Amino acid sequence: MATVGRIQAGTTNNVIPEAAELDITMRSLSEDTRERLASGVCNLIEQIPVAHGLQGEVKLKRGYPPTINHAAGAELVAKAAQGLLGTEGYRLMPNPDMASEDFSYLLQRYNGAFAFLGVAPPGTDGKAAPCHSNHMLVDEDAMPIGVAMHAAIVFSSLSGLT
Amino acid sequence: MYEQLLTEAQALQSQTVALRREIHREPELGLDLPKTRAKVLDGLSGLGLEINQSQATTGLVAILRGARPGPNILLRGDMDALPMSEDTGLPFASQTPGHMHACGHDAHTSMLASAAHLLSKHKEDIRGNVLFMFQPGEEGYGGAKIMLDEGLIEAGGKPDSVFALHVAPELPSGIIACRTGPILAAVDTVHGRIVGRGGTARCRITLQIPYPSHVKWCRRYKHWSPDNSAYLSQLWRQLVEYRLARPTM
Repeated sequence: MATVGRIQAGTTNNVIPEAAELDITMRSLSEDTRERLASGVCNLIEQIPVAHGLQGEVKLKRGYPPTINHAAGAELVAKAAQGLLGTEGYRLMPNPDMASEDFSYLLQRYNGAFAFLGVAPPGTDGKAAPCHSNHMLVDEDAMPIGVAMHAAIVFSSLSGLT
Repeated sequence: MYEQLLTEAQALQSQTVALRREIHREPELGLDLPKTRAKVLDGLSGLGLEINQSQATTGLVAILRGARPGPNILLRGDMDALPMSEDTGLPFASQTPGHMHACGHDAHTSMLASAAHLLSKHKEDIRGNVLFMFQPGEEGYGGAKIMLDEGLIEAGGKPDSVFALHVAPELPSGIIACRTGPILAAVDTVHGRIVGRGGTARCRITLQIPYPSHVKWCRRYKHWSPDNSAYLSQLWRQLVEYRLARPTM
């Protein structure tokens, strides 16, 4: 998906500016979609203005690649989480989260998985301030579960925890 | 065994919380986090881990060698904060104006350090090695890529698998959530510039105003998805129609 987050042109009421600018964020979940999105958006910016007798200029800046969990890694996370917390303590995410992470570079090269640990402060009922909020809080009581998850992942991987 | 891990993690809680709050109080940005690294090194001291420090960043990989040979498992915690002010009112809130741990990396780092403590006690039971990767510069600096490219990740042995946990305030406390396949997106940005010929607003006929295509673009493609394969041809048709309908543009 592409979001035009900033549009800007002009300085005052009686001057037609020479140029208008836009800043766009593009989020995608595979390298294939990523390429199509980038070339599609860049083509539109370069070519629509031409149809109006204008010029379009475009600068593409690459961010992090999509974070793709390997099946074996995700299964190991599920097994460790269910072992620690029971079935109710593990949630299979129906959809990806549209944020991004540079752990993706490691998952491009090695097997494994990225997972989330719930840290909703008590009483927030799903409405807690999200990450990157100036009010973001972590329920510290969840941290031992994070610590134990790291250990459970290691034991599940290395010594066939039963 | 699982129950024992939880009990042991619980027993480490006071040090997990203490390290998290120390890091939270002094957030650092980007790839150069000397204070955070010092806290991590201090937190790992006495465990007898091999420590490989990044030259390009303040990251490090601490290695726990198990009693017997086996695979290498990498666990990652990121360490950097965000360039924003904190308004939580916490007693251990950021003391650096304009810096805040608002993405939980303080918790990631302290949980990973406590995991190193927990696993070190089980060294005799470990068949293989655990690589604890403490990484700066996750927030847009590509710290993980830099540590990979400088060879730090494989310096103590190539990882057979890699894992990372990220806190999620929208999920109930203590829940683990995961999935196979894509879990997070790629994010790329485009800066576009539409150039015409500017001038005074009294003689529009001689100017090339950069707005019409611009506004049109945003109105139509504000939330554009490439998954509709017919989209580009449809767009082209719309454009031609637009031109025909306004031959004086």
